[in-house]
Amino acid sequence: MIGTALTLTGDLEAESAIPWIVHRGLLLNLDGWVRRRGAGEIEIALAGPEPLVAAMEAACSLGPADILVEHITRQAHDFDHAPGRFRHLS
Amino acid sequence: MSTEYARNDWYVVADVNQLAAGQVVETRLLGQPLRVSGSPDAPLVTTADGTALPAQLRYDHIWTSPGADPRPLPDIAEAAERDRTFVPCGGVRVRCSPLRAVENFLDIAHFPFVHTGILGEEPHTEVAPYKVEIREDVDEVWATQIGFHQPQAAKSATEAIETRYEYRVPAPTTAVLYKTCPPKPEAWDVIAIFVQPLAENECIAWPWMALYDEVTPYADLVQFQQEIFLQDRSILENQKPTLLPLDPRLEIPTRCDLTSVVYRRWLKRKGATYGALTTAA
Repeated sequence: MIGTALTLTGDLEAESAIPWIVHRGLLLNLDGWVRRRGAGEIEIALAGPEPLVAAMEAACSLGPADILVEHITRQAHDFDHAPGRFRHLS
Repeated sequence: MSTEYARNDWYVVADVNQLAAGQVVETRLLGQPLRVSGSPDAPLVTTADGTALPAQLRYDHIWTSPGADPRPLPDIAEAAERDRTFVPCGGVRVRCSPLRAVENFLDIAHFPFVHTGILGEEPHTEVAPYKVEIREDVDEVWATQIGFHQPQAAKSATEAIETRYEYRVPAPTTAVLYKTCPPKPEAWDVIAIFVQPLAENECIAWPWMALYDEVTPYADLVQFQQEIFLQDRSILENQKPTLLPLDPRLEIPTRCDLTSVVYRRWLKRKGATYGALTTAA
């Protein structure tokens, strides 16, 4: 199954970042997951209707007040199996 | 609330017509009372204790800054093109965050619904994808490649046209719109909004235009722009929360809102939070 991967880079260390992204993913009724890939990088994999994926991208490019997203990149993501409801992948 | 960043920007506190008429303007800036007097060529801006602030005439308005080390006043190159018609439109007082006023100016999606029959109309409501970026070399927000169907893009327009737009935000409370000039399609009309923050939740929007339009009477140009801003005022004064959220939990931005998203990101990065809500909304 082909979905969308978003990679956020910037000042992302605040603990609020992941819960905020999960809250937004669930609000938009998306499937997929989010995980940290280091202090300054967060990876998000998404499946869902394109307008909602685009809304997730727009939301994540701002994020919560205590993080600063400097760059966001988007590419295709190949899910090995059905991704399930959006969650934090620790 | 933080005035630390805001104090070192320049703000409009009166327009040239007020001083030319000999008015003494009692106003406020960032919550502090100010008096604006003098002549357009020698404006005088003083605080409540009589301290003189720097003052200058630019773009047909009187500008001041209360900071010790103000950043440069944004340059609008078209102001030097003497064949344009320059139109200071007067101030529109709005009970909203100054940042909300700028954000509203940047929002094209509301045109068909708020400025129906002028800047937009149904069923032409779709906002095609466009490009938004923070230009690091000049530290400005730019939105480009915007196209929109408009029934009357300007006072000089005689029919509906596909209008091209570019937005530029050179300072948190200054935004400039470059749009198709109906009688001269190879040129841009320039419409700017200079927002005077009276307080975090109250401002005066000073629209200013630099147009290629030698036909339309001055009063009609002012009335056209004032009508648009008055239509916006009722929307702006009913937005919740009043301050501009930098952590908008309950809002769901879409692609057409990208200019707003990037504007907020830019404010957050600069620490330009006067008029912003920095907790979850």
